[in-house]
Amino acid sequence: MLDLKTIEKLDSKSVGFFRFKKLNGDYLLTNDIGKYAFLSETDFKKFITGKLNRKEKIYQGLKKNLFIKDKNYQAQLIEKYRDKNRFLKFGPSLHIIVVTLRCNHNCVYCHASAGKTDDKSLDMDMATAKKVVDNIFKTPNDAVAIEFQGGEPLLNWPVVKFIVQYAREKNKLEKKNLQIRFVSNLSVMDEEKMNFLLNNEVNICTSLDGDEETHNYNRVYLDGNSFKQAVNWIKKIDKAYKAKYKGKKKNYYRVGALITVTRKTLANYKQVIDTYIKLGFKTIYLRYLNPFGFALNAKDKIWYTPEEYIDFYKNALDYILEKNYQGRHFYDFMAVTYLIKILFNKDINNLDMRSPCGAGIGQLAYNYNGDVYTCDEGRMISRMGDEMFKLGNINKNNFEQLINNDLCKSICLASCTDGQAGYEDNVYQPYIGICPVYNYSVYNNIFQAPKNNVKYMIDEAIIEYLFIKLKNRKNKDIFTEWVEKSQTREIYR
Amino acid sequence: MTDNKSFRFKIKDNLLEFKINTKIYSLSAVYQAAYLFLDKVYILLDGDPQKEVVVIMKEKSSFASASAKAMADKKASEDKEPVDLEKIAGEFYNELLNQLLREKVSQTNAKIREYIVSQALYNAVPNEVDELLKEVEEEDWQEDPLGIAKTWEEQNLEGKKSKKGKMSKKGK
Repeated sequence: MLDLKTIEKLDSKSVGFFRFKKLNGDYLLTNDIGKYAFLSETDFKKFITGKLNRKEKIYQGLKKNLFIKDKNYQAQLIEKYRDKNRFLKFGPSLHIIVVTLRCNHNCVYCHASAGKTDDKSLDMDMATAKKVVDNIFKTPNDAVAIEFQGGEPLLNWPVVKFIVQYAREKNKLEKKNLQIRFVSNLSVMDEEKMNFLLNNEVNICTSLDGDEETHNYNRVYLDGNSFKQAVNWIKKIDKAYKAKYKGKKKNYYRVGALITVTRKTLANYKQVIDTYIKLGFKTIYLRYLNPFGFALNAKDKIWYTPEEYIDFYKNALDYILEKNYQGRHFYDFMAVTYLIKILFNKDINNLDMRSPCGAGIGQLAYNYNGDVYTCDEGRMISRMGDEMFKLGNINKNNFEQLINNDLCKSICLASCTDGQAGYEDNVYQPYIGICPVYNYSVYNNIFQAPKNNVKYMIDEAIIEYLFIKLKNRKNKDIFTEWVEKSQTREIYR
Repeated sequence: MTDNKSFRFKIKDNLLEFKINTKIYSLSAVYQAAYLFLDKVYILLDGDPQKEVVVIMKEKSSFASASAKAMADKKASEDKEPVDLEKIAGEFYNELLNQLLREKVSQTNAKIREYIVSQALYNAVPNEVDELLKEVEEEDWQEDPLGIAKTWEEQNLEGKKSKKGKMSKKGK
């Protein structure tokens, strides 16, 4: 245990800034650039009093990871801190377009509160679509990702087609690193549409909630079997991708899949993971429910307590690790997002897990009617009748007006963990993110201290579990491999 | 009533009370430590900040950790055991030491951290002043076609020199 004498003898000349916590008997230390170290209590005391032997491995490790001040300390920290926060300089790269709010599914958790299939007033028109693309290319960011979200975008196919073609054409002049992603339930996909998307290098992503029973429980589709439709197209598209890019690209695209964890998933986690592996996926993204849209009306059917989700996550991660011990390369994307921060000290474009979050400064969401929101979550709140996160409209406001305003600045401030009570001294501060939209939805305030904050409770538990696992060398090697493999799939911006 | 001499705290009617010497522990360390217990107990700080702070804690009727709108109906609190105030007191004392160390580390590194962050972000984000300077440098004012950037002396001296030159030419 720490004592006053040790604290009084703090060697301020050699000890650099660090945060700490006692975790499973050892002290976990982190610093501003996200480096970490585990020290036994004896070594921790030696470290803070400057009594570690300089020739020892522990001292050298702490020095290398910039916990100990030496002549290179300042210059190295400046460089690494800049690198960790380099996304601040670029502007929004992720642009979410809702070409329609119509959907042919009635998912129990629909965060977007999708509308009826025949309500065409929820479709984006061509003129709005053109203005959206023009606005997207005004971003100062060299990397641009256009992501179709819904509703089900296949229901407004002519506008999807126009946006893809217009963006590709426009990019011949703009020469940005352009990625286009298409998120669909695939239920009304056909060969022609698939070939168009493949020919235009559009990444296709679908919702897959695991095994057939779990998926169809969550994703209600009255015109057929949602699971079978999705799986059928996943296989078809993967096959077409492979044929198209065979021998041309080292890492040809594959269909991506997103899972939303509901109460039904908790007990079925093994079947869910097995289904993903069986279908050839290398990753799963064990996302928890958000308190938006229809999810709020289905409490008894789908919700769980934070503790229940945390238990589920730990079990699922252990199961995934077990698969890796057996030689199967498979990882959870949420774990990898944190591991990239922990092991590589970088922040990827997982925008609600970042400080400050991506709202406005990293992403923009364009609704079918041209309304622009800080983020997709902000757009979801709008569907619930609250325009709190609306930045403007594409027909009335230019790019600068959409970004340079008080709302954007407030969200940025609210999601910055630096200096915020409960975060500033927190050992996980370099890794954790805040979602002001989540805070607003649950606590009616974009600022919400971590204590009593359910999202924080879950995120902290996940990070802590990853650190506990990291103490084992075998796990660390597996985690490092996950991060390295994932890097070929992501844009670092 | 529990009166623990070694730790010097009292527990009565679900109220935990203890005193902290502010000559040993700074007020900010007390605040920070108290903050970490907000989810478990209600906290009142009293006493004389110059000498001794009195910390009074009251058990929350229900553990409000799962207060999210959507999760409210399934509060984790329902299954939780009541808060052990004696344990809380011990944890608070430990946390005071942690906070004291955090405060010292933070204070002794404050200036260098400020410098590092400002240097790192100064170069990461395009600076408005830099942009303006760049614009100014790119402008053609340095050519000064109207001669307005010259001082009175420069203009007159040049004028005289040229007049002299011309005159001398003429004289020749």
